[in-house]
Amino acid sequence: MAKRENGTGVYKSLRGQEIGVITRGSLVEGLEMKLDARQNIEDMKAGKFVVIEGDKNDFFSMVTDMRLDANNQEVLLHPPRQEDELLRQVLSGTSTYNIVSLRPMLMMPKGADGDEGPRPVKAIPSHFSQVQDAMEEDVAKIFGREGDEQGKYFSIGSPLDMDTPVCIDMVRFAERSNGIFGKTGTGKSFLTRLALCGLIHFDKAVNLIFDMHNEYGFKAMKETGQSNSTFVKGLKQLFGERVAIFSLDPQSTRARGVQPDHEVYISYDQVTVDDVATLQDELKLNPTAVESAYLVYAIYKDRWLRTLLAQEGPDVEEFAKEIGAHPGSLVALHRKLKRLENFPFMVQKGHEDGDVVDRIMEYLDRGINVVLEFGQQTSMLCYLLVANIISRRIHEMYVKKSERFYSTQKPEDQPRQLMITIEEAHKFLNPSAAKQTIFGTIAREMRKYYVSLLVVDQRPSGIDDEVLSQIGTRITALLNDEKDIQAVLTGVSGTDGLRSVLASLDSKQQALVIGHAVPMPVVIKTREYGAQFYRDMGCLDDVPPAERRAQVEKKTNALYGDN
Amino acid sequence: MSTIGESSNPLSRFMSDESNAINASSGPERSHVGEVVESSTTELVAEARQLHGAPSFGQFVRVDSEVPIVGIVFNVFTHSIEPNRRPTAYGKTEDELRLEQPQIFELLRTEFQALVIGYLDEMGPVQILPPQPARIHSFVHVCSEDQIRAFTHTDDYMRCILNTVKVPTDELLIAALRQTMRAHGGDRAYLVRMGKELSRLLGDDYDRLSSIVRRAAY
Amino acid sequence: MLVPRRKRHGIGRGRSRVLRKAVGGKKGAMLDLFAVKNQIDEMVADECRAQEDFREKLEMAVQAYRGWQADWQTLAEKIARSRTSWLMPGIVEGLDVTPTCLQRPEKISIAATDGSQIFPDRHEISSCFLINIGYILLHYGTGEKPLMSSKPTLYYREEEIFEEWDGRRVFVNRELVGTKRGLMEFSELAALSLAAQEAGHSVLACSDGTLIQWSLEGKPHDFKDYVLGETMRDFDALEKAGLPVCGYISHPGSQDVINALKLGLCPQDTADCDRCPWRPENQLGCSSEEKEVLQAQLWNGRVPCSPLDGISDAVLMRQILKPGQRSPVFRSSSKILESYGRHWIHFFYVHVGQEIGRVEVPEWVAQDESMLELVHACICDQAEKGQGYPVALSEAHERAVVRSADRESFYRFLRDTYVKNDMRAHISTKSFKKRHVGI
Repeated sequence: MAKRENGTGVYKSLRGQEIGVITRGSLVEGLEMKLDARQNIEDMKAGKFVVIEGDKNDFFSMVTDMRLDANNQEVLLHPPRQEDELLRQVLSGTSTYNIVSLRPMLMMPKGADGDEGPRPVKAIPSHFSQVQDAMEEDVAKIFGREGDEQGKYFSIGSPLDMDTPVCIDMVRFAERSNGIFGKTGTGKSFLTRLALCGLIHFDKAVNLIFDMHNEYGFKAMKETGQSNSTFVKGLKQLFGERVAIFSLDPQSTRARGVQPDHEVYISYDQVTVDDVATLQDELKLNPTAVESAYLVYAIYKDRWLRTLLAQEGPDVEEFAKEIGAHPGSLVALHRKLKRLENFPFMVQKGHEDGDVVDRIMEYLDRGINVVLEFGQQTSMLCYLLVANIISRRIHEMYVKKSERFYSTQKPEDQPRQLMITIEEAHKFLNPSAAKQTIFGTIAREMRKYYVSLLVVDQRPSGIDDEVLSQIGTRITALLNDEKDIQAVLTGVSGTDGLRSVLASLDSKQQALVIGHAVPMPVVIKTREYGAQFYRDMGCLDDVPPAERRAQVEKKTNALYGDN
Repeated sequence: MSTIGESSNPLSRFMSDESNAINASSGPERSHVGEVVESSTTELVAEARQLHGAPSFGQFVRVDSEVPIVGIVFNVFTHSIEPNRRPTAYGKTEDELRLEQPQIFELLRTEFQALVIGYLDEMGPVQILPPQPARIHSFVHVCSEDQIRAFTHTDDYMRCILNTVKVPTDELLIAALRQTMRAHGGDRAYLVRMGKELSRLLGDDYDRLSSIVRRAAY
Repeated sequence: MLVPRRKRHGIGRGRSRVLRKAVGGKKGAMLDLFAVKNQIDEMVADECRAQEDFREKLEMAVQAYRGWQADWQTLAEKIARSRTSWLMPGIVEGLDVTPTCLQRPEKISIAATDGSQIFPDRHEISSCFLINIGYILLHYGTGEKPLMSSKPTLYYREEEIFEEWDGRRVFVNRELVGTKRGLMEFSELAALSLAAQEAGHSVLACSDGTLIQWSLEGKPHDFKDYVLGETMRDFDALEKAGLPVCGYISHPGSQDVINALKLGLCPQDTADCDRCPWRPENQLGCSSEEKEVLQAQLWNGRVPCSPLDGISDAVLMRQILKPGQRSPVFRSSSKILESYGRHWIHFFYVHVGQEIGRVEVPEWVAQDESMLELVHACICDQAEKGQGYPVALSEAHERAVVRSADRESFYRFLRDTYVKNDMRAHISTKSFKKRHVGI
C-alpha cells in the first residue's frame, strides 16, 4: 500500500491505526508483534486479519496467539495496586507488554495492481515493520469482491471485527470436493445452506442434496439457541424452478407446506450387494453374510434381494443349501435385510413413472438442483441406503457421460459439474466404508468425472485420511476435539497457528475457511442469512410489490432490451 | 515613605544603588524573578529579586541571555549575606519580626540554582545545552505555560535531570512532571506518555518508576 | 624569666619531638610561649590580689553613692564650689532617681551612622584615603523596609591629602582622617535623620560613641573652630527640627560620678586639689601635729579620696541600677563643651541588660522630659534587640566597616586600574616586603 508524506517528514500508512510492530519471528514459526501500548489486548482476537507493512511487500496475516509479557520480574512480584490506574497505564507497553503471534498467509508486492495478485509467503518483513488492521481494500484484493466482472466471488461472511465481505471463489469451490465441519449446534447446516446458495446462485455446479433432516428444501428452523425458533427460507423458496424437491416421505413434505416435485420409490431390484455391503456397520452384518449375498446375487442377479426377502423363516436354510451358502450366515443376512421391508419407499418393482434415478438425472441434466428429503425416514440405515443407491447410479451415469465427452470432446457433451451433498459423512467415508461406498470413489477420483462431494460432518476425525486430503475447501465452525481439529487441518501447511484459532471460534456464526477456494485461511463471521441475503439471491418474495415490479421490469429489460 | 513619590524621596541619597534600582524597576515590565550571579554551561545560580521570592523547586525558568536559556530550579536557599553572621532564633512570628526586627530581612538573601536543560532559538525549543552559559546579571523569568509545553513536548528534559548527579533527581523529576502536567492542562495522556518514557530511561528500576509516577500523579 | 633551653631539652626527647611537630614548620617565627608563661602566672596572681582590693573599693563606692542619695544637693554644692583636678559632673537630677525605661513608642524610626576608613598609606601606590559611612534607618512598628546602605568616598586631591592648619601644611595623618570621619558620621547622621523626618517618620538619631569632641582640645584653633562649627550647625538643625539625638558609649570607662564621690570623701569643705593638704609637697609649712592629724586621715598611706581610684562609673552603676533603669542625668564638665553653647552635653548611664551603657544627649534633650524618656526607652529597646548593643549601631558598623580583606582588595583594584591606564605604579619596598616575605 502506498505511503504518503504527511508534511512532517514521516511516512504514514494510508491504512488505519498502527496496532504494533514486528519484533521477531521466522518464516517457519510465524512472526511476533509487540502490541502498541494504546491498543487493548482484548481487541486482538485469534483469527483477526491484519496486514504487516514490509518494505517491499504487504503481508496478510492472521492473529494466532497472544501473550502477556514483562521485562522485569519485579513488576510481576509487586504488581501495581488496583487504584494505581496511572502506573498501570505507564507500565503497559513499557515494562509490561503484549506479544501477538501472527501467521503471515500471503504477501503482495506494494503498489501491485490486480494482475499481480497475492502470493504465498516466501519472505518475512524486516524488524519493526508496522502492523495494521486490514482494510476493506485489502480483503477485497485477496478474496475478490462479490459482483465483479468474473462473477465467481460469493461472500460468505466478513473477517472478525470488520464489515468487509470475504468471498470464496465459487469456480474453484465447485472444482473439488469440499467439507463443512463443526460440532453439533455450531451452524453446520446453516453454512451448508449458504454454500449451496452460492453454488446455485452462481450456477457453478448442479447439486444433489441428500437432505437427511429436511433442512435445505423448504423452510428450515433457524437455530437461535432459544425456544422461540424461527423459520428461514429453504432453497426452493429462494430459487424456485431451479430447485426440485424429491421426497421419500411425501406426507411429511406436504405437511411442511410444499408439494414435492417427485416422490421417491426404490425397488428391491435397484439394491446391489455393494449397497448392502456399505450397510455392514448399521446392520451389524459379518463378512460371511455379505459373502452369502454375493452368492444369492450370482444366481438371481438383480432380483437377488427380492428373491431372498421372499423366503420365509424356515425356508431360508433350505435356500442356503440350494445356493450353497452357509445357512447361518444367510439366515442372519435374511433376518437383517428384512428391516428394509419396513421402509415405505421400498417397492417390489419399478414405479410407473420410471426409475427415480433417471428422473433425478433428468433434472440434473437440465441444471435443476435436487433436494432429496427424507421426511420421517431419518434412520441412518435409510439415509445410507438411499444415498448410496442413488449416488452410485448417478455416478455411473456421469462416468458414462464423461467418457463420451472425452471421446467426442464436443463442448455440448461436457457434463454439468455435479456436487453431491451428504451429511454424517463419516458414516460413508470412514476408513473401512470409504473403500466400499461410492462416496469414497467419488472423493478419490476428484473431478475426473465431474462429480464432487460437499461433505457435512461433525466428526471429521472419523473420515478416512485419504479422503480428507482430497477435500479442497474446508469451512469449519468450532471444533473442540483435538482429533477433529487435527483431521480438519490435515493437508494444510502451517497449521500450528490455526489450531488455536479453530479451538477459539465462537460457537455461533464464526467459521474458519481454508483451502482451495480461498487464497488464505480466514476466520469469518458468517453472512447474515436473512432478508438482505434473500434479496441478493434474487428472491423477491419479501420485497414490497412496487419495488419487486420495478426489479422484474429491470431484469426483463436487461433480457429483451428496452423497447 | 510610600506617600512620597520616588523622585522626591528625601532618603534616596542614602539608599544603596541596588535598592534604588529595585525601586525604579518595580514597573510591570520588569517581571523577572531573579538575576544570574553564577553561571556555567550546566547550571546557574541566581539571586531572587525578593527575599523568599525564588521560583519554586522544579519550576521552569528562562534566562534572557544572548540566547534564551531554559533551566529547571533544583535548589532554593536563603542565607545570610555576610559569611560571618548567621540568623538566630528570635521566637517571634515573621510579622512580629518585620515590625520589630526589620533589619534582619535585609541581611538575608534568597538564591536559587537552576539546571540548564536547553535553550530557545528562532525555530523553537532546543534540547541541547547552550553554546555559551548565561551571562552574569542576566534576568531570570519564570517560563510561560506555552514555553513549558513547547519545551516538554519530548522527554529530553527528564533525561537531563536523570543524568545530573548533584540534584535530588527523583524529587526534581516529580516536581518537574507536576509542573509540566499543569502546563499541559492536566492532560493525563501526557503524564502516561512521560511515564512510559521514564520507564525506558530508568531501565529496570521498577521501584523507582512506581514511586515517581505515584507521587507525580498525587 | 626564660626557662633555660638546656633544661627544657632535658625533659625528654620524645615529648619535645611531639611539641616540635605540633608547632610545625612555622616554629622559628612563633612567639615563644614557654618564655612568657611565668610572666603570665605572675600577672594572674597580681590580678587576683587586685580583684580583692577592687571588691573592697567597689563596696565603698556603693556605700558612698547611697549615702549621698538623700543629701545630694550638699554634694552638688560642694562640687560647684570645689576646684578639682578631675572632671566633675554637674548633678542636675537627684541621685535618688533611677527611672525605669518606659514603653518605646510603637512607631519610631532609629537613624544611625557609623564610619570606617582606609588610612592614607605612604607606602602604597597612592596616598589617597577612603571614608566609608554606613547608614541605618530602621522603622519600627510599620513593617516598612529599612534603609541599610553605605557610601564610600575617596579623598585623593592635593588639598584633601595636605591640610593647612595654624599656618602649617601637613600630610593627613591618621588622627586627622579619624576626626574627619567622626565629623562626617555626625553630619551624615543629622542629614539622614532629618531626611527621614521629612519623609514623615518620627526619628531618633543615634550616634556611635561620644558626642563630646575631646580630641579637639589642644588642636590648632582654626581646625577646632572648623570642626566645632560644623558640629554645632548640625546640632542647631536637629534642635530646630525637634529631632532628638543621642550618643551611645558601650563599656564606658568614664569616672565622672566616681569623681563626684571622691570629692565627697574629701574631708575638706571646699576641695582644692592643687592645695591638697595631704600631699607632702603641700605640707611644707605644716606643724608636726598638723601633719600627724593629716597623716591619720590618709587611706592606706594615700590621700583620703584615693579609695575609689580605679573604679569606673559603669562598675558602680552596675550595683545601683536594675535592668532598664537609668542613672540620673549629669552634666558633663568637659572643657570643650564651653564651645557647645545650648548643646552642652549631658549624660546618664543605663542598665541595658548585658551592660551599663553611657548615653550622651545635648542639653535641649536632657531638659525635655519626653525626649529624654524617648532616648531612654529606645536605647533599652535597641540594646535588647541587639543582644546588648543597640542594633542600629551594630548594623551601621557592619555597613561601614572596612576589613583588612577589603583594604587589600581596594589596593589591588587601585593598582590594576593604574596598570590598565598605563600609569607607573610605585610601591615602597617596605610595603612590598610586608606582602612578599622571601626566604
